[in-house]
Amino acid sequence: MKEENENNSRRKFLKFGLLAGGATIASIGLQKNIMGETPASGEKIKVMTPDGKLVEIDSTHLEKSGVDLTAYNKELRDGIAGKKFIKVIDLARCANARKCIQGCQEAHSRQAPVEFLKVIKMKETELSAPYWMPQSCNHCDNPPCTKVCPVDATFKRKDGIVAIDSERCIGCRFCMAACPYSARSFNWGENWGIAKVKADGDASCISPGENLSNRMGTVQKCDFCPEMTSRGELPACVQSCPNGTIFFGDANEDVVSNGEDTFRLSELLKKRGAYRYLEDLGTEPRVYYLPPVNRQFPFEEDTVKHNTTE
Amino acid sequence: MDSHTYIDLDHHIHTTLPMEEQKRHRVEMREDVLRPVRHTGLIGKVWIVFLIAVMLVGAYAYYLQLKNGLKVTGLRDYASWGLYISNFVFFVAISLVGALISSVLRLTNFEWHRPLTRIAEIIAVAGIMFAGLIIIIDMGRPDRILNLFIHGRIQSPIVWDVIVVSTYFVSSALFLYLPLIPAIALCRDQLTNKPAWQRWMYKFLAIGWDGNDQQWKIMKRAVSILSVLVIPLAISIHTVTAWLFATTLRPGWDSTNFGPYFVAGAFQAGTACVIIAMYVFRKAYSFEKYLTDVHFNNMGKLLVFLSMVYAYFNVNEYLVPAYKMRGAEANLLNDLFTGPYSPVYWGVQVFGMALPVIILLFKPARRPLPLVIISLSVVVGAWLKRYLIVTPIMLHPYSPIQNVPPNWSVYFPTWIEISIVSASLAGVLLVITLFSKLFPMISIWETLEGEGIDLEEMDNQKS
Amino acid sequence: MKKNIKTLSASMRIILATFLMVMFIHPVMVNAQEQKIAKIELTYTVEDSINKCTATVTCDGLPVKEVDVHFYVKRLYSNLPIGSVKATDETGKVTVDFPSDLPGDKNQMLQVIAQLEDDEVYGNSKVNSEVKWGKKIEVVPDLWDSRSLSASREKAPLFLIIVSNIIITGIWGTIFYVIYQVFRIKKERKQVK
Repeated sequence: MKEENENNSRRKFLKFGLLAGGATIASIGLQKNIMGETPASGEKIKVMTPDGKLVEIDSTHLEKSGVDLTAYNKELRDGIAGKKFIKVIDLARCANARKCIQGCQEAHSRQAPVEFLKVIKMKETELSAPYWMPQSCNHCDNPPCTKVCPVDATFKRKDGIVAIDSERCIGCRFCMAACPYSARSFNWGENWGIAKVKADGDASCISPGENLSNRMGTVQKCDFCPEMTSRGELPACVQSCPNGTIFFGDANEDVVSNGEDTFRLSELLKKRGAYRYLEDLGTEPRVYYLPPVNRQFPFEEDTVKHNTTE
Repeated sequence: MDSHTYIDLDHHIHTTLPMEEQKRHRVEMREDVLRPVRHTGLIGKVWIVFLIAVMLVGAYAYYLQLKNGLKVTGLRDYASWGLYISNFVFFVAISLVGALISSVLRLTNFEWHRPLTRIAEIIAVAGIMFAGLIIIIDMGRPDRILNLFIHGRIQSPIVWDVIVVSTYFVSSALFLYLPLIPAIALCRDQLTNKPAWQRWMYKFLAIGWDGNDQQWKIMKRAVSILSVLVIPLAISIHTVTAWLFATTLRPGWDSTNFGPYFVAGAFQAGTACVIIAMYVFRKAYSFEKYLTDVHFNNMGKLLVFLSMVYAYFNVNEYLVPAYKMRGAEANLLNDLFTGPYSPVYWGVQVFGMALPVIILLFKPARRPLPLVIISLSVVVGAWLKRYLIVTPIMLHPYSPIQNVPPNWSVYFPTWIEISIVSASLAGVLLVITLFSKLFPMISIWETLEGEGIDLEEMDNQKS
Repeated sequence: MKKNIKTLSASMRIILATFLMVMFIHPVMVNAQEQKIAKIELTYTVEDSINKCTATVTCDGLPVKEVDVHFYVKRLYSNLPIGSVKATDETGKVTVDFPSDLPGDKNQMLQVIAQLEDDEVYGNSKVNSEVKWGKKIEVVPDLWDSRSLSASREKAPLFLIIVSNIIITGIWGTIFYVIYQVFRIKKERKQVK
């Protein structure tokens, strides 16, 4: 019996690389994802077309047209052509308000202890000044996590996003071990850190390939809010920061925005001496940090303990 | 008859005894090795029941884990790997010894390895079996295990591990089985009072062995092929296991030394396991005539040598980074050397590696009893070392651990994890025990061949 | 308060009435005037190889002076301000230097917006227009499409596929050969019998 399995595994293995395509995701979960999000009939929704344009179409039209799930799935895996999403975090503006965490949790229907975004107190040396640093998935261009995934459950998309297919993840947690940024978290139990679960198990905002009702034992993380960005909205953390700390945009447009201010990306990075976290590791993050100089707020110690209970 | 008159282990002089003597000796050995298979004492039965009980507790714990998810473990987002992975590495480590004893010593003509091969091989098979199981237990979604075959990525070290573990399991099982065929045939012919299923099993597994010269030739040739094949497999299985860690960017794992460091540690731990098994079988099954003080002495010497090799890799693994004390790695090393992990770290390095080398240099320490005590210390040290390789590194990431529930920044296994791991250890012991109750634990033909008695010749004169 | 008003002198009453009128009624009057619609026209010129965009603001054919004009380029999530905000001159014109390295769409077009923002008289008059000043996005071969260790399984590096298949075939070939030997042992028995 055991031997049979081994032989089988090998036969399957020999087909690696020879087999092209053949991506088969449990389509039921995806169907739920698409339909769960569809607004009431007659409503117009914004959808990003493959060439990156935002178009308004009738939601019922989308529903009735019966989206080709394999194509939809491939699009989820490939991402939006011509886009290169990027995030810039201005450390001079961060006052540890923690609204980004809250906004992120609300958008993804999560609650403590799940935080896709963390605000970490950094203090490099005895003499250097402490500062607050929002950290989340860096959506690396040389991602150590997608390298090690045994089943292609976490993957890099064309548009720069590193996404997770929670219908495929086997929960080995190798990606968590491989991520030097500790950006990934795990669904340790049923409805782990899920805030509002509707009757059908779907929450309000879901990532591509994510099925909220069947996530126990899979890995999750920041997804750059593709559900919102494809509607032409900025990600939840960007929208919820009261100080405009987080900028988001398409690097191909050379522009980032925090909703209030819009800057040329290249100029902003040049002028403000931007850097990437743990650049030495060669992970090529898609999140840039602007150093905490000319701060808008004095550093204040956090007197409250956050996220203390499971 | 004194066995020492015709066994000279150090020089392996083949004395030719008269054919009647040879046959008499063969019959005598057959009886000695079949005795534990014929009869199981009370202690043996209690031992088996105890192991099954431990496994049942583990099975219940795993049921709870399946039902509630991995939240029943002490694992959380930072320490996302823990006891299961440490235990996996330990099992892979001990399984390497099969290759060492049965292949390396065989190919390098160390004749004294002959009575030890079967003990080493069954440890290897049992170890690799439970290594595979424990990794499934660690998975968050064991129900999706087939994804490894449907969607497997050749770029992932986990896929390499799946391939190499299954390959090593199959070849180790064959390496155990092929030299066992004559013994199975013996059981088939001799143990006629056993239950029907057992007699059927002997008949099936003996594949019609009647000891003709063609059968002997084919079997010996196949064993030779396997003994060459198993060495690169054994090395690669543990190197790939080391790569599960070394291919990440974590301080403490990000090391080019990890593969050989793991292999060296595995040979050391496995040798200690074989010594313990030798001691137990010698006592429990009265194998004094075959597992002699000479064997223990030689295994003691081997353990000294392997501990020194392991110490060498430890120096490379810890002292070279400690010389530099680079950033994030410095925090980890300080915690290991002088921080909260230091008692375990120094305990392991001293009792699992340094002291055995020093003590075993003296011949009286290589007698069975002192040697088995030292070996126990080595095995416990080896197990704890795997814990030290996994947990402290997980808890020393680049980014500071802040604003998490208090139980996330530490790791201590829950009773569920401890029961499951205990069950897996019990499982390894149970497989070895049951095997030893079904098949002879000492290879008759290999041992006698070492004494200059060729069973192939003997069988074919008879027929 | 009412009592206070009654006790106020006549001149003070007039001042107060004027103040109240300015405060509350004037905006209403302005709103009435807001019916005025300013027309903005954009012209694009290149001077000394610098792209310049000129907005001409008119109302009923007459140039509108001294109004602040904001220039933007439309982007996915927001509009990028171009140049600093300047007021129109005597002729109702205002000119901004336009960057030459701003990426355009696939036809190198940029969507330019010029608008008056909360102007007292003209409100939020706005014009959209397109100009082919966008920098061409260099079509570099996308790394995403190439074979790499971090890519999907179909895009595994060739050497990895070839080497691993050779090793696996070799080792499993040997294993199957050994298994075949087991069957040979079984066969040998039949020959004897």
